Amino acid sequence: MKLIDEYLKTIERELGASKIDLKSSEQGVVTEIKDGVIILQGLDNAAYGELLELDNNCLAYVIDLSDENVGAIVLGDYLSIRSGSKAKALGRSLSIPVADELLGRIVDPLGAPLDNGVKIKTDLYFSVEKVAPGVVAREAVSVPVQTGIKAIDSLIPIGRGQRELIIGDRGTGKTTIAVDTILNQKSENMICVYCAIGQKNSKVAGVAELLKKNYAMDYTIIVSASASDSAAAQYLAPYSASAIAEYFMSKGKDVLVVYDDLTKHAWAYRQISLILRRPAGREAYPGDVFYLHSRLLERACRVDKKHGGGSITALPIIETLEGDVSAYIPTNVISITDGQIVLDVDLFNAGIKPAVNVGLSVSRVGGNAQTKAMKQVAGKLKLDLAQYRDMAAFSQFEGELDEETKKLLNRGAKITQILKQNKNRPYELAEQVVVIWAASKGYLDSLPLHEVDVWETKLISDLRLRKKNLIDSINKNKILDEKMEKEIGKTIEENIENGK
Amino acid sequence: MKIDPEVKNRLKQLLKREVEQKNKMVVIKSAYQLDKNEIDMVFRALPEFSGMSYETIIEPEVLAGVIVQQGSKIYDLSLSGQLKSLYNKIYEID
Repeated sequence: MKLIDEYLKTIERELGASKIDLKSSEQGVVTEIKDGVIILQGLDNAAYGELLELDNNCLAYVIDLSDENVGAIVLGDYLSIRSGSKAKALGRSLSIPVADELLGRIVDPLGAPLDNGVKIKTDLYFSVEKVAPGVVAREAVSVPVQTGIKAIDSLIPIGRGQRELIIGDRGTGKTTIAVDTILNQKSENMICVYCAIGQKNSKVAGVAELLKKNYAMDYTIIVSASASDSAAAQYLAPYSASAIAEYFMSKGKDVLVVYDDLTKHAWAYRQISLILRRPAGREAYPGDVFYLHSRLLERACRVDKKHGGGSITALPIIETLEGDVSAYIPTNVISITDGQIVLDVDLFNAGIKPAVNVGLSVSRVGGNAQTKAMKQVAGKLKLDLAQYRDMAAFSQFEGELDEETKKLLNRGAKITQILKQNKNRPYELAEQVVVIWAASKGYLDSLPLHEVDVWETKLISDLRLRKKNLIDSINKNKILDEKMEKEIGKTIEENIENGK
Repeated sequence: MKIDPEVKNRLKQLLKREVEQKNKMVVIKSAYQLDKNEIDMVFRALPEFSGMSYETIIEPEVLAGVIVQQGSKIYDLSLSGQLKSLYNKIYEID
């Protein structure tokens, strides 16, 4: 009984605050219902992006205003809407609840829980569509995002506030790179948002399980609009994820957002646009498909101290067909982002994982953010690899090779080998630095290729056991001085000697 | 059948004018027939509509109070509207 009394009291209190006010609202009538999109008549003064409330308590979001009609996408169950239903404009734009409680949760694009947990309780709502911070509020990228992946941290470094595209065919490990990066943020003081757009529910569940198992859900939020959700939900998901990221950024945090993937987002938007009878352009995408992604990715930024000092790093993912990076959507997103990580099927099949195509991948701003220690060892690495690629292509036709070329080929093969990495096994900065240093200094030249793997595992466990101070000091100070190099060299020599 | 563009244009304009006329009309929905006094009260409460032509519609679902509509603009001052918002509010409280 006490419970009911308390419940009634809450209702009384809530209702006491509201009173009848003489306020007009805009009303319209549903005339057409199409897959997730409704066309209404009336609503003469409705605004773009305004929320509508329908008879069945469903919400709709105005995205099309024409001469006589209003087009809106339905957020929720559109099958129970009847032609002739009334719609009331609510006079506000779409926003989602944001709070620290979101950490560790799986939510839909409207912020409603998908994980059987309680509703997100908060008074703070953030607008889903928001204009990105302007020029004045921004700062150059200066702090790195440690992905924990050797090939990326050394060759294609990513900075906090950067937008780095991950692009490749299906099944080349795009999601793996993104998820591994999230796994590595455990001690990096970063909040992660994983936004699944049009993905299989099983895949999202798998990612959630993996993150939970590795205690990564403590600082991660999953926003999911799966393949079975409406196109409207899929269209909104990345903007919602961005709004959540903006909330944490407004508290001065560094946030990492993964959009997995924007190809399906473009498909969802194409579907909505075709239903709304907007003129179709190339590949039937509407004219503003570029703006669709540019306004989303522009929200990734590093703001200066005066504006909170937080950052949003975006890792959008794009799926290509047959490795064609010059298709419509891929070229669009490549031109928007600050670089791309290209994953290659051939490399993947050759057992080089992560299958990063070092030649095509770039990071346009991340270099400034790379740690000193990594910069010291990676400079040589790039040169060696570039020479190796040239020679490797050439040497396939040549039987006899001179000593110098052989040496280059050997070095290149070793470097390629040490850049391989098992999935879900991120490396600390010091581990990366030591391994790459050893390869670029030529310590591995005499080692057979198939023994490199074993050597690497052994070296890292050795360092952990015997040289903990050295590892800690590299991780902390992020520089490599001569004394350290000597010590590492000695350890590696001993290590190789013992292995024989 | 081919329609003369001139005729088509005229018809369109006629329709447009008619819709405009209709949109200018204030519609007052109530549960029972309102008398002159009550209608005056409605117009006093909503001065923006004063002086406009109006029509009254009887709709028992309104229960009590009135719904005043002009074009797509609507003032819901009915009991049914209040009950509906109460229902939504209780649904949202947890």
